[in-house]
Amino acid sequence: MATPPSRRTWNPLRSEQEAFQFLIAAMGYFGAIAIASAFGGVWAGVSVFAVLTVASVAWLLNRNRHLDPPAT
Amino acid sequence: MEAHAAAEQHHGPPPANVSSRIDARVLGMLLFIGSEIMLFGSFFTAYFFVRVVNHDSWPAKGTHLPVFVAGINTAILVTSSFTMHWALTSIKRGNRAGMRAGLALTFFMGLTFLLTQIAEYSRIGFAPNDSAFATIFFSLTGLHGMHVFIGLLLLLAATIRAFRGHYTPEHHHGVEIPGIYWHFVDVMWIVVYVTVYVL
Repeated sequence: MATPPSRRTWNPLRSEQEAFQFLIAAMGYFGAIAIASAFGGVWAGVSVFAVLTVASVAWLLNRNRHLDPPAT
Repeated sequence: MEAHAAAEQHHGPPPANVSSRIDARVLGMLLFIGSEIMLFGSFFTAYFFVRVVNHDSWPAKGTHLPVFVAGINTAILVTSSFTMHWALTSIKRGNRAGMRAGLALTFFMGLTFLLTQIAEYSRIGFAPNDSAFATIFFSLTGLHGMHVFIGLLLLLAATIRAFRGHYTPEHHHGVEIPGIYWHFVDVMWIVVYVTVYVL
């Protein structure tokens, strides 16, 4: 039996739905960096890049912590 | 008794072990995209070396990148991901007309992107052998263009099959797998556009 989507490790390449969500996230991530660089200069872009990267990693780690162990 | 008889009649190797967590076809595409990410990673390494470590002027003197045209092209490609998603959502709901329209629109928007990129190359005013900047520009955008071309072949096959009556709400891997690939190609373009054209 397949594992329900809400209980699986997030993988942007597992299904079209997850790949599409990853595309939306990538648009937000790179769009925010580009906008910050355009209006605030290099260091604003670097700051947004750092903040978003840390936030993304923290979200991913926190999400996976509550998942069931893989069925063996 | 019947099972025993069937086992005796079976010839050839035993069936391969299949993971219950991921479909074998999706796993194949996942591994392929993993190798593609490494390929793009090597090109981006060269790009950042030329731009940051090598201290070449960026962009090279006398060159001008068509940021606006590439931006419109980016919008076209991103929109094609939405139509791809629409196509898959439609077939999951049993809406064949929506799937066909979504696939056809995705194909034509991808084709528009590729033709616009070819036109951009012909008018850009520099050649790959002019400077390190020009080399890595054509390498990165050309590599991506090749991926769009492969994606178009997958989409064409899926579109033809869709118009021939293939795919059902239960069986639509032929749409799902090109969809995963197409979204990957779009994400890669977003990275290329932002790093090469915008930043």
